Amino acid sequence: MGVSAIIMMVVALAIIPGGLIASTIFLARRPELDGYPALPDGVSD
Amino acid sequence: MSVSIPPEAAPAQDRQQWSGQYGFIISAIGSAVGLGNIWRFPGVAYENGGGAFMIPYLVALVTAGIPILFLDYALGHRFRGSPPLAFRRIARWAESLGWFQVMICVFIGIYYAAILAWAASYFYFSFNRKWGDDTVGFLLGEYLKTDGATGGFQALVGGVVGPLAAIWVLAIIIMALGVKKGVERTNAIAIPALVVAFGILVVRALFLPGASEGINALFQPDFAALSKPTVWVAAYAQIFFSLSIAFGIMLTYSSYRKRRSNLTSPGLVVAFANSSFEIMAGLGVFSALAFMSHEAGVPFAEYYGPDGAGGTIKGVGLSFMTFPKVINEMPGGALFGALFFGSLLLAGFTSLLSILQVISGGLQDKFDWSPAKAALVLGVPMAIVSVIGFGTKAGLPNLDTVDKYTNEVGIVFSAVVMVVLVCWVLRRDKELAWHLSTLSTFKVGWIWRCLVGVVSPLALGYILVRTVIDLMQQPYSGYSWTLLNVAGWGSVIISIVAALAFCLVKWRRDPLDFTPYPALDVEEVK
Repeated sequence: MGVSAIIMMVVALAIIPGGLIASTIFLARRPELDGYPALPDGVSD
Repeated sequence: MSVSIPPEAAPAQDRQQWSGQYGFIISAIGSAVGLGNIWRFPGVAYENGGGAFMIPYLVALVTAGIPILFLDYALGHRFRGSPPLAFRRIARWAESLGWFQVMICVFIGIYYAAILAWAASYFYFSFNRKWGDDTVGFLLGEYLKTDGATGGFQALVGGVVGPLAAIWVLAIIIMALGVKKGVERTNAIAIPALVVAFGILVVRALFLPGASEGINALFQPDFAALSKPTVWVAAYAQIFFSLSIAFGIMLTYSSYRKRRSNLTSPGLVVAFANSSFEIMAGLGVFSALAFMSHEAGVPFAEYYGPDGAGGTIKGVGLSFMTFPKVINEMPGGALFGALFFGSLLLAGFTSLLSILQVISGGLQDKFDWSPAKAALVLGVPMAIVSVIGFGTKAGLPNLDTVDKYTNEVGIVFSAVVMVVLVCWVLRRDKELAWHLSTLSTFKVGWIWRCLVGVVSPLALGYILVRTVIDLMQQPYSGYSWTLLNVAGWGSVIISIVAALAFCLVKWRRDPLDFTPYPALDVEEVK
């Protein structure tokens, strides 16, 4: 394999699956239910 | 900016819901990851600059894919409805756009099921490699029995009709069970199974002789390609078609989320999961293809070039003509074939469910039907049309034509109209950005509004105009103008006419009878 192909593959793997891992970790920081605006009267989730 | 607030009225209607965030995410991934991830992305990347294609691909993901995905989520969640109901709640006349998206899903659903039927057959064939040495002849002759058919209505092909009917029966049963018990549970089983099956396939492919030549071919950058507009168009088109955006699917799925739900962060997970699967598919498919050129002792580019013996590396040709050849040659080919066609089946079936859910959701909202009734009313006629149109000797050209026009004209048209309507005509982009940011940990603001309102319509508008001009100048794939006009343009025109007609039908429940959440803080949105 050429060096430039290896570099592009590493970059693609770092950004895309890396983005998946980062966004999954970020997802864990979801707000608590108390942090949301109050639900209107008579409206449930 | 003026922001109109939908009238607050009675308590919200009962609406089906996902069991939670995981159920939504796994179903949305199931929708996004489909046939295109496996059979389209690797070939498109290879033909458009190889490794250098990753640059426009990532730009397209960030500037159009993710922003429109967020727009779909915001529309479905804020206005709590399938496309017709969500758009009706924004403006009376906008309902037709929702029905147009539903009709696009009708056309896609009827041919998509046929491809799944082929994949199911080939899954079975792979155990004894029934296709033999002449894989092209087997597909067109023994299996599809095309006999040179060039489209239209022809005799039914029993080998296709059987699995096609089974696909429809299974889909109708799952749709009838509803969002949580049907769609979500199926995805919760199918997506992990897909990742495991395809993961095994990719690992096996990476250890085949010559695999590195395929990876080299896929990632070797041709930076000169970045100066070609066609490469950028290909990147935007790949992202756009791959993510299941702008034709109602993500909008419908987000409408089943709880009111207090994080929207943007799951969207990022779905978008990156979809692209990760594409990269994985690229590695697996190109490693396997390179095994063949390696065995033949011919360089990859030459073997899969215009005059090479390798065959096509995209779409139906890749899956049902080229890949069976690879399976013939490799050790453990039967298992490899079962994993490949099983993966196609799982990826495609979960996407089919999402397509059907848009139609089912539209019917449930409009006519106040149960999921079971909607599944039967939509499923049975669609199954019949699917069999008549695509279970015949002319199934391949019919399918290819409807696929081309509904995707590249219908969906792109839907996307352009949607972003222009929401951002420029109705000017709801600020309200939707506020909705997303109020509920989500990943905030969006003017950059998102700029990407959705300016970059996306420009990129997609260019793709649409270019496609329409191409389709009018020369017959697509050499098919007859009769087939292209009837099945191709016909599917788009029928979608428009049906969309307008559906707007004339009375709603069984007052569509404005809902309470938006969060209540709009007009001062904050100004």
